[in-house]
Amino acid sequence: MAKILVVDDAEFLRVRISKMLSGEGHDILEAENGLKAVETYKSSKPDLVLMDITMPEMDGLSALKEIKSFDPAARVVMLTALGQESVVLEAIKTGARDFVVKPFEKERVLGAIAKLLG
Amino acid sequence: MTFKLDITQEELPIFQAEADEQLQILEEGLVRLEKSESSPELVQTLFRAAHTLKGSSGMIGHKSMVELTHALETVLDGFRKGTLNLTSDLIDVCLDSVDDLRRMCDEVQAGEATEIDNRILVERFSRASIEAKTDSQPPADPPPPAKKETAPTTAKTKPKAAESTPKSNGKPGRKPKEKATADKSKEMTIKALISSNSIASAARALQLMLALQDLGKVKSMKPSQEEIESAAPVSEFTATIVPAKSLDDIKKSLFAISELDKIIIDDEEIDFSAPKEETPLEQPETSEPKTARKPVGEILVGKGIITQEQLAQALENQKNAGPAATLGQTLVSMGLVTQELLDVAIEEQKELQKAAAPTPAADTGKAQVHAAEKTVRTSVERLDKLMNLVGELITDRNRIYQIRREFEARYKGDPRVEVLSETVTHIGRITDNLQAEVMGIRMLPVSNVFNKFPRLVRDLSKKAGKEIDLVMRGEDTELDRSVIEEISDPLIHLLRNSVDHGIETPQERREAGKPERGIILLTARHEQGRIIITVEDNGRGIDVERVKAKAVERNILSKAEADALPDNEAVDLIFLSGLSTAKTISDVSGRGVGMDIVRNNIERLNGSIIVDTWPGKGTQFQLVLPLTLAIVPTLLVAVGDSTYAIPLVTVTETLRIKHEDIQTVNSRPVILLRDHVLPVIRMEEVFNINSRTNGGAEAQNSYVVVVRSGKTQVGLIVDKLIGEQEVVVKSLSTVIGEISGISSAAILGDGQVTLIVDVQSLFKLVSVR
Repeated sequence: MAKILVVDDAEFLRVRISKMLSGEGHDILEAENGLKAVETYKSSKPDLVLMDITMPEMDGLSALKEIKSFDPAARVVMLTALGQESVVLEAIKTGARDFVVKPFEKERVLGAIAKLLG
Repeated sequence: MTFKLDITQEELPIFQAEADEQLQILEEGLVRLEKSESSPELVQTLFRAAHTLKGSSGMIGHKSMVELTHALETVLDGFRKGTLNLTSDLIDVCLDSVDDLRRMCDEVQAGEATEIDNRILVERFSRASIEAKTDSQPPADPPPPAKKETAPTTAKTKPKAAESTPKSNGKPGRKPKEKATADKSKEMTIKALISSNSIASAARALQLMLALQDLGKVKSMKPSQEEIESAAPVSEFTATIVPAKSLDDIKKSLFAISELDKIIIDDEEIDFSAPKEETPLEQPETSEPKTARKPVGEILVGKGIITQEQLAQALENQKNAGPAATLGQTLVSMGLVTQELLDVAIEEQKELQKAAAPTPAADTGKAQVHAAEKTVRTSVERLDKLMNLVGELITDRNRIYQIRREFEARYKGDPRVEVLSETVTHIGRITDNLQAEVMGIRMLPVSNVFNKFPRLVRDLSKKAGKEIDLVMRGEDTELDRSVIEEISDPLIHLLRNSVDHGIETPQERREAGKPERGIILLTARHEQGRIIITVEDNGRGIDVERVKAKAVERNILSKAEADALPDNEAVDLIFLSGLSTAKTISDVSGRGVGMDIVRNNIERLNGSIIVDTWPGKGTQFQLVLPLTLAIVPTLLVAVGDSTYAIPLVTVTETLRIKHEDIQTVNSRPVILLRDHVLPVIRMEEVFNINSRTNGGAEAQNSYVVVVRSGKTQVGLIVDKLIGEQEVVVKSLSTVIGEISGISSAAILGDGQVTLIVDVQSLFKLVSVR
């Protein structure tokens, strides 16, 4: 099973995703903003990152850039919301491997993870 | 109509706490925005709060909450981008939507979400937005949602997207490498249908484009890169490429892209569910090894299946094949191993990985998770229970103290009693610490109440046509949550009072030579184990003569009494019911029912309220409150055979008097205290008790406990002073109902039940007589 870093400033979402993924047997790390996400990525090198875009301290796009420059092979899935289409494009260009739109169904997240973890 | 929400009981408190927090941020921030304290950071913070709320409400499936938060988010986005002007109307709608969201959250909490009709608000949003539109188009705002990307930028970002292969964007510069499979000369047409549900279909097209650029040379593409980057929806993506990878690799790359309904390669539809490839969690060798995992290559070499040279060659090939290529697949495609052998090696790799001790990286990960667990959420009910248990413990401690005193008197010098005595002291100290800790946990900063006031004052002053700033100090002063819950309403009343009656209209203020904007100052501080809260305004002050006139008019005072009443006492008349001096009655305060309720509520908490006023300059209300309601320091007194507890906060001093000291003025008993007349109350009369006044020299003496309420004082005549004791309050109301003169009960150290005196109602008894 994989080590997955869940990044969202909304605790409720973080808790829900973490529970969902640990239920699938994954190891979960959590971070509440982009800055902490980058730190955690560097120290723990997770197999996959699920990351929100709109966050305080450092937003998801900047964090994605940092993570990608630290580890070009990083597998990052962005969590986005309606109305963020152009940011999503930017994220894909920056190297995000996939994105999931909130609110999402469990299957959608698990599917994205399965695809990337192979 | 109710509907089911996707949320569990465990998740509810997290959802609620977070929603409360975001709504609070929104409310405070919106009020600040309007006060022209707008800054990009503030707008961004508010946008994020609305965004977070939208995300959470979406997750629990609350549609109307999502719609409302989305509308709110859109407006804030408009502020952020400068497409909307900050109008008072728009702020109004935003604040109203915060109110509605709060209602929805309450319903979520109660588990009975109804379809609150948000259509009116959503409509108001769009109307106010149209009116608030700025003339100029946004100055193509920089970072996040840049609508139009220019080609050069794209070119710059491309290498990043291409990950570990530096030159992989399908340009002719790409080194031709001997590929075991794909026929380079042959073109391949790839068509992908993007799901109509995708909210960012352009991003999917971009993913397709980037993937294909990695897989070979893109000859043509529809839509074009420019079209894709305009973020316009894409339903169908077609491209012709000269593949540089095997068909399997191409399929694998394309399958990794989500939300594709169909992929057609050279007119052949690809079965979607098929190759859920068991590709191992291999990393391209170019990246740092992520874990202590043993590479598949090494396993294969170790087993003698391939040679070190063959491995090196395969690694080189894999590197050139791009990030999607795995070593295993490269080896298979080079014909060096069979798929079966590869599977065996991968299995072994997994086994090794499982057996491996936790890597340092994993350790740090764990440490972080632990760090996050240093706080624990608990329910208020559990804290209340804990407080009750501590209360019981205090009762027992008091009892043990009493027994110790008896033992020490009876068995003086007995070493066992000394040991017992020490132990009792220790238990007492531990109990004190425990009480302090539990009290500490229950403490909340007063900002929990204060933070809703800026909004309140804003709305009220707007309605009253006044300009008022609310200034708050000492918001982080902590007090017990039982008190916090009780002071909200009285404070709202006082603030309303200041807005309605205290602060003048801008015109009146101008005429009086004052600045047009009035100020209401709200402060909180600790003082000698009590909380002092003040509400002060720089308005017109209370017209004492009018208060007196009103009191005479309402037959509360005679003309003579009114004239004799000093101003500082006359102002207290405002706390009597049925006395309003406002010329016009507003809908929020001023029916003369407010201030007496305020005082009753404060005094019910064993607190007191004092008003001071300066004509033309302003008015100050001072609230003195106990730190907690659960445990009360009291003075125990004896009246006849009964013991009563008088809350220490109300006691100013105690006196010993002789019976002949009691005189009668206006048929009321009084004593002279430092040349002032002090009305006294005989407790035995109030409670119908036979005092032990039957003979004996001792009976010649009585004790007076001087208590105060506001600025007035009264002496309570009791038989004996017993001493100070902290008692745990036990409510009486559910058992016997309300009794005049008694607020509640407590159990004393000796197991005896005592009644806690309601000093305020005693004051009323005096005035009624």
